[in-house]
Amino acid sequence: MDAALRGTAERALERSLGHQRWRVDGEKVIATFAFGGSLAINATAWEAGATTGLWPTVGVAVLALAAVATVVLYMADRIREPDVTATLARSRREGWDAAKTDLEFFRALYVRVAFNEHVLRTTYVLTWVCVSLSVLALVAGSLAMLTLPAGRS
Amino acid sequence: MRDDGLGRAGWGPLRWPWERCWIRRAEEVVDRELARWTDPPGPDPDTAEVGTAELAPDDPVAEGAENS
Repeated sequence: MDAALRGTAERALERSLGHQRWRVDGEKVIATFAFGGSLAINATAWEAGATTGLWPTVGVAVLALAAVATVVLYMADRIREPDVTATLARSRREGWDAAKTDLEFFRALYVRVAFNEHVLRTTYVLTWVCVSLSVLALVAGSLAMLTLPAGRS
Repeated sequence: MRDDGLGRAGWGPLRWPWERCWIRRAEEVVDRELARWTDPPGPDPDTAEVGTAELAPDDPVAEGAENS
């Protein structure tokens, strides 16, 4: 591959890698905030005395599922970046010349970006699951507060 | 755990079983793309046909253009 072309492709791949890292971090922030909001509403409902009945139970159950989904989202964040030390060690071990090592650095970057696309597809779905569950828990918590018997709030 | 060279290739410990599959698919895509750019260029039949057509002496369209 032409050196100038490879340089252009390398810069584009580096930008993609940064964008991928930024996107997963954003998804984690969104999921965490959604979970935190619904947790606050449900905690308020329980504090106000809505501890029995349909909506407090549903709220807590869905909130628990949202918590699990959020933890799974954090664990699914497997965005990878090229390991320079490993590539250099492999180059020494296998006796590559500078051109071959340079190509392998480029290939390592390209493969990571392609791999991260799979990670992003998973985290995208998980983010929607987290947000949906958090919204459901928020609605259940709100209904638990609204349906409190008179005089208990 | 069997040694498949992923650790030496800088992937570190794999947390999920499907990561191995994703790495393999990513490597296939990248290797196919790189091979397209590093293989020596062979004869391109499309280009050859276009070139022949352009150089054809008995092109009626070209002849018509010359006569007019």
